[in-house]
Amino acid sequence: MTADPHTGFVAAAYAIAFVAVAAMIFVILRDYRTLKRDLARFPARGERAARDDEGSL
Amino acid sequence: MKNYANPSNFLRLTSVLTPWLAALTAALLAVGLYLAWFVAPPDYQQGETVRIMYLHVPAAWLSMWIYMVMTSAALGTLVWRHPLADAAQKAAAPLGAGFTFICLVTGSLWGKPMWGAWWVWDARLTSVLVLFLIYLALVALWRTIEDPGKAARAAAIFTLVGAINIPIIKFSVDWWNTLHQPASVFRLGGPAIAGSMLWPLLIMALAFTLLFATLHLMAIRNEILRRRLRRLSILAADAAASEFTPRPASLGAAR
Repeated sequence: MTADPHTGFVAAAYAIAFVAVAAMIFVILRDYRTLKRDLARFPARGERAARDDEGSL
Repeated sequence: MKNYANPSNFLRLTSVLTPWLAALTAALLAVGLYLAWFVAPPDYQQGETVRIMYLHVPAAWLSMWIYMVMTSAALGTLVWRHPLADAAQKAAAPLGAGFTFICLVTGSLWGKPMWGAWWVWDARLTSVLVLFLIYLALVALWRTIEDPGKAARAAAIFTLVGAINIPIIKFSVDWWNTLHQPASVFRLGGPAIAGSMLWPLLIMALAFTLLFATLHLMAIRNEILRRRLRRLSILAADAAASEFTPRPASLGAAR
C-alpha cells in the first residue's frame, strides 16, 4: 500500500474522517456533562416539577 | 411507541440502549476497517485510492439518510405534534452536517488523484454542497430563534422545503452529464462492483449507520435535558420574582 503514489490522499481521508467523528462524539459528551452539572444545581423537587411538565415538551 | 413520547421513558430507554449500540458500532467499525484496509483488493485502475470509497460512500449515503430522518421528524412536529419530533430533528442537524463534511472532504481527496481536480461544479458535487449548507442553515436557525416552539416550526418548514434536494442529489448523475460516476450499488441491474469490495463497503455503511443511531440517541437525550434545564431556570426565576414582589400592606383587623 505504501508503494502507491496516492497513499497520502488515502491517509488524509481517513485522518480527517477520524477527527470529524471524534469531534462529534466529544461535543455530544461535553454537552451532556455540562447539562448534568447545571441540572444538579436545582433541588430534586424542582426537577420533578419540570419533568411532570415535560409531556408537551 | 407512544410510551417513548414521554421524555422520561425515552431517557430510560436511551440509558439502556446506548452502551449496546456503542459497543456494536465499535465492533462493526473494527471489522469494516480491517476488511477495507487488509482484505479488499486495490482497484485495477485506481489502485489503493479506491480505499477512500469505504469512507466516502457510507458518509454520502448517511448524509441523505439523516436528512430523510429529519424530514420525518419535521412531519412529526408539524402534523402529529409529537413531543420528541423537534428534539430528534434538532439533534440530527449537526450530525448531518458532520457526515456531509466527511463526504465532501473524502470526495475531494479522491477526486484530486483520479480527476486531477479537488473540486468541479458538476451536479452531484454541487447538490451535496447545497445539502451541507442546508444543514448549517438549520443549525443556525435553531440557535437564532429563542422560543423553542417557534424555532421547531420554522426549522420543520425549512427542512420540508429543503427535502427537494434529496432526489436531486440521487438522480443528478442520471439527469445531467456529470464527472461523478453513476450509482454502482443500488441500481436496476444489481451492483456493478465486485463482491470482494462490496462486502467491506456494506459493513462500513452499516457501521456508519449505527454510529449515527448512537450519536443521535445521545444528542436527543441532551436536548431533553436542555429543555428540562430551561424549564427549571424559568421556574426558579418565577419563584425568585414572586419572593421579591412587595405584598399589599395590611390595614389590620378590626377589633
